[in-house]
Amino acid sequence: MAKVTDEIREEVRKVIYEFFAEECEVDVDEINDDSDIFTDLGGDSLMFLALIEIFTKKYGQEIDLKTIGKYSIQHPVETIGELIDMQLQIIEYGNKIIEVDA
Amino acid sequence: MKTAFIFPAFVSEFIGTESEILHAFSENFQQKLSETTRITGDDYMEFSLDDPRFTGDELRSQIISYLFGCSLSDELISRGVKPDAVSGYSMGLYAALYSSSVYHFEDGIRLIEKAFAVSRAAIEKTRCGMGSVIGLTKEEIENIIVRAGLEAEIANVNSEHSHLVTGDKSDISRLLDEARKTGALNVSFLPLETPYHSRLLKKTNDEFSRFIRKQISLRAPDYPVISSIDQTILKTSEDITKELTRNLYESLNWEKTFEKLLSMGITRFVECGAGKSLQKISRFIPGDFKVYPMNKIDKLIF
Repeated sequence: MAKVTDEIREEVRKVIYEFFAEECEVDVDEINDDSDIFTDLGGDSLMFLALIEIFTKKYGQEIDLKTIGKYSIQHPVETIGELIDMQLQIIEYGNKIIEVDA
Repeated sequence: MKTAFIFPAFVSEFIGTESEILHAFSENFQQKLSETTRITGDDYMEFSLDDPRFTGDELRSQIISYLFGCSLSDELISRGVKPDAVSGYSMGLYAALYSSSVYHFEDGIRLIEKAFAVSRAAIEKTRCGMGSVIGLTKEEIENIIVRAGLEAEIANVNSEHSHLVTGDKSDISRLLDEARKTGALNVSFLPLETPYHSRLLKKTNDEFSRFIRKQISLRAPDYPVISSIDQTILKTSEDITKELTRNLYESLNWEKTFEKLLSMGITRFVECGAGKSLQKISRFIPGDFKVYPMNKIDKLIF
């Protein structure tokens, strides 16, 4: 778990934007926080999984994937902005993310 | 640099430009559309990725996938990009075997048609299906199956947290629901009514095996063909016959198949088919390699 600073927030945003630009073969300028990952960018759930792996390695976290899965039932992610928010929650709360809104 | 040709199954998300890419190379794709029309009696000359008569039909979409795989591998080999090994993901096996000159193009289509017919006959009126589970391990999925007593099983291990499941349709539905509640990141039904890689299709073995032995002329492969069932190298026509029959009802392990190819020193993978599903799956397999989907192969041949 880590305190989410403005620096981390920007880093997460940058990584997610660049990741989808490369994976979905679109210009990064065509992506914004309201972009729908599935309908606008043609993304998929494997990309979520890849991003979770990227961030857990980057921030040295040991996350139980099932916890994120359960969290995503209550907080479904469709847009880039929602994905950034979820990733920041994971960084801040780790496996306790599921308790945040309890 | 060693190269493998890997062939996707027929459930693919299309990039959208596959036909244009192949048409731009040569007459090969056009000729194969024409030949397929002659063999099947369906008008493949009218084929378009936007036409659900082709992409929405389970048998025709398999044939289309085979056509893409065969045509692309023909183009690559004719331009000097030859594989050091080949492997097919699920029904991608048919194009993998064609690319290794195990049989003629027409025989591949006859195999696909026969496999489809015996599979449908085997399940009779049982409603079946397949699904995808992202975010759980094999053991976690198997625990759900055992606990709930479901007529379902793992069809394919893509990677540690990515699996396909197969079986009775209502049980697959229950499995997907339970998997999501357990913490899967995503679950989805595949648009299929045939439970490929399920023991429900084991009864296809004798008839399909007989058909292959009597109707299809098999040659030893020009290039090593890696089994996606047990990762052995298929060398003889007997190996090939067994692989074709088992491919309908045995579970696959694509992760291990990819690792086997890496252990052979392969660092360049060409996804011979529509879409880029194999490239996406490979992201979770550690190693120093690159996968080229169809819309990137200009980097290999020009």
